[in-house]
Amino acid sequence: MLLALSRIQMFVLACTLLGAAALLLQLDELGTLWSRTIEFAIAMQRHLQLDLAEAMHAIRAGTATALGSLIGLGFLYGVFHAVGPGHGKFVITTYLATHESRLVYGIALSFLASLLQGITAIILVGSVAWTIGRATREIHQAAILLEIASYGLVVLLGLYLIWGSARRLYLRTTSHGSGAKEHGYHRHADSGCCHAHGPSADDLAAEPSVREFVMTLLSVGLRPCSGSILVLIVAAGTGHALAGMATVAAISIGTGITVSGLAVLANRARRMAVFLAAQFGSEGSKIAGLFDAAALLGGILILLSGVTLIKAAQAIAQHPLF
Amino acid sequence: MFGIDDWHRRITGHCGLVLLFLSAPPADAHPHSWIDVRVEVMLDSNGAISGLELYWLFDEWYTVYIAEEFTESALAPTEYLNSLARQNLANLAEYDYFTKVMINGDPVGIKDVTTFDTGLSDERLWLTFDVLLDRPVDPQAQTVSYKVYDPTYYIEILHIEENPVTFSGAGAHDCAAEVVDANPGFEAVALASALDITQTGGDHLGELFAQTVKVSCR
Repeated sequence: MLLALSRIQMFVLACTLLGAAALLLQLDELGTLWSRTIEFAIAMQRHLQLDLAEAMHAIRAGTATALGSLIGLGFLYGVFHAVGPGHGKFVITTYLATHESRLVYGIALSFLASLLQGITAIILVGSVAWTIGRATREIHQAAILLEIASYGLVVLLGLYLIWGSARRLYLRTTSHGSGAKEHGYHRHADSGCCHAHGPSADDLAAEPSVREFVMTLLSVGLRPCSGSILVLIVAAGTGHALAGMATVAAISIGTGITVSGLAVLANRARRMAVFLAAQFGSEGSKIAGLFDAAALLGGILILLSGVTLIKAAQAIAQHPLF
Repeated sequence: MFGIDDWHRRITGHCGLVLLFLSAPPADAHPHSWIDVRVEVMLDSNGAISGLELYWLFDEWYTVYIAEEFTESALAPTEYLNSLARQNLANLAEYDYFTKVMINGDPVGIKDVTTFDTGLSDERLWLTFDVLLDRPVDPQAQTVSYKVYDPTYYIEILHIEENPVTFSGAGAHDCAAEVVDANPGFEAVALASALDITQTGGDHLGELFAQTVKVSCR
């Protein structure tokens, strides 16, 4: 059993290495593929956004089938909108790739964040429309403020993650040799089961705390989805608020599907890294230290992205045409 | 076998890819609005390029955006549109009206816009204005090209497919233009995103995705 398992592991390892080698040789082509994908997503988004505008016109004209096509288009718009580079995906995937969590956690995070983006848009447009009328410029400015608040939370999240992982790293260094090894990596030492072929749960960071979950969720979801805002402004302007909200729900679900797909990829990539580290590593605490370093890097990247995003949002706040 | 240069390029590529995944994408690194553009290249009596007449057709979303503003304002439609155009052009001056004209690859200075017109067509806002060059440029002696783009890439500006570029003035018949789509190499995009972390906040992203129009006259 043990032998068979390790053979399978060897096979997986060999496949991974071969795959990685092939990937390295193909990277240039992969890069082209990547730019093509982004270009395609942008072009799709353009078409869908224009189609959405047409569907809104049809709603205004009272066409019976318009609501169905509006919702369908909204869903597709969500799916493609989320393919292009954007802050939500970046924060979620970086977080998931550098921190230990269960798959369901990543999926829940992606969906809740996408839904929250839609809800923020509805609350924003609804409250501005209710208080000062359909003032698009005010809505736009308020949306940018929310964006900046959301990016501020990204910065906080980065700092929080840096603090956590740096502390773990520090504790690990200072307690080295005094029992930390006992949690070491049990290579083939367990009773033939398959769960312990990696650093033990104690070695890696624990499951994310509620605080981390909420911070990640808010840092992504506080920023309202701009496509949704446009739909809602038009919907409110033409007296079809409910149709607008239904479309926003469809956009959110579409976005959630794409982002959770990426979350699954990030989670799988991390599992693979843990598995590979276990194949090569000899000491669990060292591997765990390595993963703490990865968590630290993840925190730094999230922090830097937050700073960049705030700067970029300020640039857009001063956009000459809005 | 690969030469040193190949390996060098390959390694740079890999670093680019790593940077790409590690670096933060600029905020909303995708357009949220679109402008269709049509251009008339203006030639003076000597056949030199004196400027570009740009025709911008905004998308329905931007039109709705400004229309909502209009319903709140007390101005008459044409008056409102004119004041909006004046405001927008004043804001755009700082950005050279999203227009970059190049001679042999070097940018040429642009004068402030004084002539413009605006209106609605098929529920879409349009704006036309003349971008005059600091000095006339001889298209026969020099390689002239231009780009029209929003540097933040918040708006994507693309040429109308049918008859995107025309010419007017002396020797207009001898001139031709070629619209070249952007080919944002992923290394360039990766580098741009990597630079953004420490430098600008994605101010040059738009240029990577901009169409280039090559102008040539016989």
